[in-house]
Amino acid sequence: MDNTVIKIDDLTFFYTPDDEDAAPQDVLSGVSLEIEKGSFVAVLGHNGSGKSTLARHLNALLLPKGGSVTVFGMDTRDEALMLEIRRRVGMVFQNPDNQIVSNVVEEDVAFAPENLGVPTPEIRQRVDEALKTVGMYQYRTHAPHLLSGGQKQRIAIAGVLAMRPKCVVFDEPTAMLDPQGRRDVMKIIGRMKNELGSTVILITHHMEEAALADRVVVMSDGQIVMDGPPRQIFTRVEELEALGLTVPGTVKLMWELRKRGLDVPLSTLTVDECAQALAARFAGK
Amino acid sequence: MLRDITLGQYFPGTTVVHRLDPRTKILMVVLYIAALFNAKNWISYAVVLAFLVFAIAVSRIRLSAMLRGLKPVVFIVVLTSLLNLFYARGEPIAHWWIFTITREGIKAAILMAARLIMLVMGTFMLTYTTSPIMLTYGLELLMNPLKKLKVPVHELAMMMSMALRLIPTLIEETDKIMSAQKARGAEFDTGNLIEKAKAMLPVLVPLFLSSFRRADELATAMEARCYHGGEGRTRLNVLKFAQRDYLAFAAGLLLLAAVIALKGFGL
Amino acid sequence: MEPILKIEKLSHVYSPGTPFETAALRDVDLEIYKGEILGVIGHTGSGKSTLIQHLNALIKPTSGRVLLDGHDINASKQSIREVRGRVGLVFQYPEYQLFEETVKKDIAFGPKNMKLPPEEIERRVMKAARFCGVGEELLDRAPFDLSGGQKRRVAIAGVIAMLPEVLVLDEPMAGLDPRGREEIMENILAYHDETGAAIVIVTHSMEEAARHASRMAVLEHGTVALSGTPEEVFSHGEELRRMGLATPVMTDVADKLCKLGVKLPGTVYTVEQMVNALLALEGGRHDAP
Repeated sequence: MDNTVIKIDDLTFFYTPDDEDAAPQDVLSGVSLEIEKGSFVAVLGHNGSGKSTLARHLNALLLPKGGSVTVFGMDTRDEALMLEIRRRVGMVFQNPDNQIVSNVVEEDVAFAPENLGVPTPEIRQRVDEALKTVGMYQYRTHAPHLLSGGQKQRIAIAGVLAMRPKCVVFDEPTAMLDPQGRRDVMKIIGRMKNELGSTVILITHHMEEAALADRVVVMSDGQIVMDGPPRQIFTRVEELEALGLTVPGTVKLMWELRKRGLDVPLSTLTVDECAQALAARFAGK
Repeated sequence: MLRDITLGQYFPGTTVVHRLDPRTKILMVVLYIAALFNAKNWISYAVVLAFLVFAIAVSRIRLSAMLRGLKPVVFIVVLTSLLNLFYARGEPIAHWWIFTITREGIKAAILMAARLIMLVMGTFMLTYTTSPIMLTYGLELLMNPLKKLKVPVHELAMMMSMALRLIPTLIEETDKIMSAQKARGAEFDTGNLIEKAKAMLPVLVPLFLSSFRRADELATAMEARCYHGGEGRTRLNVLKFAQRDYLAFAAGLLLLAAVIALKGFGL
Repeated sequence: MEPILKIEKLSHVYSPGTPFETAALRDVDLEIYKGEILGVIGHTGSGKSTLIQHLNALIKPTSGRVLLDGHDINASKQSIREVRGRVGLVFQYPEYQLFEETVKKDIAFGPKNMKLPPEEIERRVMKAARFCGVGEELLDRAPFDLSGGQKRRVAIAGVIAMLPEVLVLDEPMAGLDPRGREEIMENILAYHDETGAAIVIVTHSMEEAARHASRMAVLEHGTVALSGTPEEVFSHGEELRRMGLATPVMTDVADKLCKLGVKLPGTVYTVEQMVNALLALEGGRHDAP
């Protein structure tokens, strides 16, 4: 069985310049990527590397200028399939304030199912379910603008979950949140992957978040420059730094130690792994 | 502070008034306003006021919230009352320079102030007890017949609810931008009118830009959540008239009838 | 040492007498010394933003005082004007406050409000642009055409152009990519090193506070829960975690190592310290290349 849910083939995209004589600048040039069902893919890259533009192709918010994007077997250029595509591929954006449409939490979460013409009793069911998944059920009658940034972002996620998407794209969902909000969002992403079996694509600047993914894709200047499991990608410290990115602190430590000739493993992505590796090396000293 | 503006702010609650169908509430406000403008005398005013006080009491909206909402209209109330005070003809009781105060003038001033305050409070009852989304939904349904005349009812309703949604955010934003420019030494409260207007530029430019940015992002987010106009939309909360709606509507009609009857008796 | 800013028993209550009444700050005592880098940490709603807006009289205390060189900043209109020039405040996402037609004019807004002579304004604009890595070729461009990181640096330059003796920044690196964060931090440090100004950085990021702050203050529920050098603050790992704040990753690693029987000397909170501590365990055999 084919497990590919998203297939991007030689995708090129540029914004048409205001000045008609100016040559358009490619934002994406020749991107090819396949994403497997149920996987958790982190996309890294400096600002302007084309990550967000790529993300917006996954649910037909943008359409390819060259190449193609196929999600769940549907070509995104087929206008008749647009709603079906957006229902399957949900998207959470960076600024929670700019994606909440209603002044009441539950009415906001209901927005997508309402657009899809879901029957009323089922909307209620979906809204309650989505709010429980993000742990905001007790706030269902509150006004979103009085909640914290992290809580608002959870409402926005619930609003996407209410579509019952098979895949959710998160475009820097934690950039504007404090550590607590960030942890809450990452917990929800974990739950979506493990309990709901969703495919998750996470665009982020936080290496610690990317380290939790099954696969890391690194973009630069509109192209994919690295692709692999985090354990492998994050050992390429110098390459990442040259791209304006960093590595998780634990990896950075090991890399510094190795530079000084100490024999320690490089691929320690978590605090536990790192401490254990160091303990093994330094026990008894 | 800008934050204190509660115009169009919803106070969530579960009272009978909150649970009334928004269409009922809109119609009741219309009846209430009609009654208010037909009230010509102390007694009919008292009847309308009793209706308002009853509604406020049942809705459990705090009086302080009601009064705070009046703040922006105080100036208009005072101005129109003064105009009435000086321009009414009748039996003079005081005279100074070109101003003459008459008994009728005093009465007119008080009644005009009462009318305006009761008008504002009555409409606030609607916005305080009805979520903006419900309000626009109600308006949309009430205006539905206009669709036949090619009036874009759904689009208008959606625009209105988006505006309502963005108001608190933009107020907060205005506050923030003003603080930031003050931190750079901007002063908004000195100089003459022209200087003051010029001083607002550093606030208005960023505010406009950010409104456009927000509107753009919001539109993208709405599209991502499958928004495609009003066609085929369903609702989480479907409006259905309940018994309480018929009762409330009857009460509104009764109010109007009573005031008109009182007018007929010359009261 | 004399503090340049002294906060005495500062309390602030929002919307007093309404159902929305909330005490954002309670009896806060805090001093800011010349030339230090103070990291202010706390989660959302801890009172950080309210606190820093008191530092240049944008908000008036409900009770308590803020003293600049020993004088109450809220004493008069004149003292407020003075503090706005001497204590610079950079808000979150400051790029959203840009409004002028050109970068140059925008940076000049603060000095202009200070009623400085034109040559001095020009001098300061150039100086601030240099501190913030805003190249001359950008000065005549519209600020709205720049990239996100550039806009942020222009906005910070707009405050630096007032040459404040205390530069207060609320989450200056929020939302930027790692290189953008690095650049902003370098700009701030350059200003600090060359002018000796005190820097107050409000941040969620323990890593950044750990790397750059000479002193830290941790706010919780409107009070200063912890303050001191980073060593002192990070030695309260458990308390910080209880407040919902993350400790630096290196502190977490050190704590784990301790549990696994490897004891490191002192408190460790940066990669550099950790490397040195581990090398010390090795017996100093390995010299850094």
